[in-house]
Amino acid sequence: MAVAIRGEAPTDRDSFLAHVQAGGKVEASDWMPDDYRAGVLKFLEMHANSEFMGAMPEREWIPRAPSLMRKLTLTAKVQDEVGHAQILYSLAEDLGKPRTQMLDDLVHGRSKFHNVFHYPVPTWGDVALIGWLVDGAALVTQHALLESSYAPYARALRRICAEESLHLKHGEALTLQLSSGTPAQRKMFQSALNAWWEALMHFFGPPSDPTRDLLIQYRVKTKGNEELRQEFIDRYVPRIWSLGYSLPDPALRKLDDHSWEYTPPDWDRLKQVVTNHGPESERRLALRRAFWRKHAAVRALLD
Amino acid sequence: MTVATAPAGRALRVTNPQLQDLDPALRDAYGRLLVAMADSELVLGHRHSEWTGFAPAAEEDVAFSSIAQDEMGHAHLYYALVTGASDEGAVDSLALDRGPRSMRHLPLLHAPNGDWFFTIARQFYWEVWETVVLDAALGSALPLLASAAQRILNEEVYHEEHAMQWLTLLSSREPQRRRLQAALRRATAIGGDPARRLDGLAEVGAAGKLPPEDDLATRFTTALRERLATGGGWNSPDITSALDGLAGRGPWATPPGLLQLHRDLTGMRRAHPGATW
Amino acid sequence: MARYLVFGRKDSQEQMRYVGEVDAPNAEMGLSQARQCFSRRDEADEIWLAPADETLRYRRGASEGLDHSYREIQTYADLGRRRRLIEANIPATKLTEDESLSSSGPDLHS
Repeated sequence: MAVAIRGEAPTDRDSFLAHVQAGGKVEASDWMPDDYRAGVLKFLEMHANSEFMGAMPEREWIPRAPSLMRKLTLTAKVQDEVGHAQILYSLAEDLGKPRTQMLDDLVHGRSKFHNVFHYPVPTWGDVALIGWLVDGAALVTQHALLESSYAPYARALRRICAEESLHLKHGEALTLQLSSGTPAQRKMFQSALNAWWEALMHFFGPPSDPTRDLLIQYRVKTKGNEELRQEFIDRYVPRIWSLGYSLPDPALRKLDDHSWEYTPPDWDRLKQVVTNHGPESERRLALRRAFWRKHAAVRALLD
Repeated sequence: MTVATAPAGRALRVTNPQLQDLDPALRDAYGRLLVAMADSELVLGHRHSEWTGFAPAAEEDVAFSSIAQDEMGHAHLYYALVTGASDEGAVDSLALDRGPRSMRHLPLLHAPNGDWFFTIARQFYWEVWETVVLDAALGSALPLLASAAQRILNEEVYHEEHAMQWLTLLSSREPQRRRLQAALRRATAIGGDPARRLDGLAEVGAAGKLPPEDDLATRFTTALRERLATGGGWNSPDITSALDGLAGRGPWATPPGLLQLHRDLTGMRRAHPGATW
Repeated sequence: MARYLVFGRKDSQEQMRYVGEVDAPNAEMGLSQARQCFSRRDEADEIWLAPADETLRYRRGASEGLDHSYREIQTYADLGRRRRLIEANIPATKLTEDESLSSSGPDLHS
């Protein structure tokens, strides 16, 4: 096994693995094993797709926001999500896949985006929940990625996390307003909790074996799915309960060892959703396709 | 909380204490003009914000969303001039508690976005109008108007830059340039000349507080022609064809989209009277 | 589309730093869009744009091996200790105001 001399960039898989496992970072122009490059590209592409599709649920409420200020702040939030997509597509492109190809794959259903963006947003209660709990879940994941071995991603995530933290405050503000409002407003948020809880539990993925997760081996990710889900539950469930709401899982409780017990979600259902068979998947992809095609004459001038 | 709303049919009440010294007829015309500009910015900002997530490229998506937000911010500023407070309750009430027929925006602005060509044509048209009327407002003796105009113009610099860049880009090749020309022709046919259509503008001009209607109309046409020639490289007959609708004197057909827009804007408020969000 | 590197700084105390990249049809639109992409919250008062394919990059490789610590302030880390040793060996009566170390020559205190 070749051992990297201090200061020399690794040029074979074994020394590369040693490098990243010792906390070493990787830049876009460094030599990297094919499976590292492919794994990071796929991860970045999914994250970029998720930010891009993530704009869609909430943008439906921009025209219908209940006050001028909320209309403004919601527009700014969705703008940020598109901005994150812009940053992440650029990073992914640096690893060898053109942006137009990624967008083409996305709108034609050939690539994936996170489960939470496949669901409908029927009320303002859902808008509040997304801002608080969906962004909260995303922030748990993204915070853990700040230590990623892929340095361009870690750097970009500093900006992304800062903006997501603002979104979290926005979501919390909306939630608190509903929670201290009319009975109809409280009921709106409770209905949203009932509707979204499974998707939030799904968000972090099924419990996985870190030793068989290539991205963890390569330190692209630093925490496993279950660890992240536990962090999310521990941070948000007590706050949800203290606002007087219930959650649709009677088994949810904190154990003596401070971990949380919960009813295992239906993992087949998650697989269905992320393969574009969720309640809104096809409609949203169809809408993206329609605009992608509609803009062809304009895109011809941009290329 | 002072409220300056009026259900359809009643005159608009200007409750800003700083405007009470004005002659009542002038105050009423000024108020109607402010609401006309506010409603216009709100409606156009609403339409522009509908592009968030769907613009032709991610970078443009971010840029255009800033423009949409600016426009909604300008609406807020104008409404606050009428109510005399920027407390959100008064501004929201003025903006959102009127029926669709009591809205005073230029009707072109509520037409659905259509494609990017119509969107850019309409943004260009309105952007040039704003530059003309706000430049004129800088010299107005109407209280609070000049300083408001300056603040808005500071943001309009970016909007103008954006409109000119897109005018140039979309004019750089066929068939795109022809599509843009057709879109602008349609926009002016529906819009006419805002100098002749915005409520209160003629009276304020007649009172000497802004240039007269004919003067503003001439400045608007001149500004459009000049930009289409230098930024777009259009020839004179194409410019004339695109601006044909400016000379119209009505009657004006109302484009579709107003009732749905009004339902979207005001639906939550009507469904939950008195609720705070 | 061409790729442009975006640089920004908040005030004149800072140097320009890289903040991200945009794809744009030309430099003017790139700069215009970069302002919204990377400074819509006024993170930068000044923004520069450079075409990505016209920038050259260097990355430092393995250490060259020779000692260049003479360029670094740590070379002088022991000055304070040496001064105290010297002062401890000088009898107080031997010093007059004119000869006191604090008024003679350039200050070597770190």
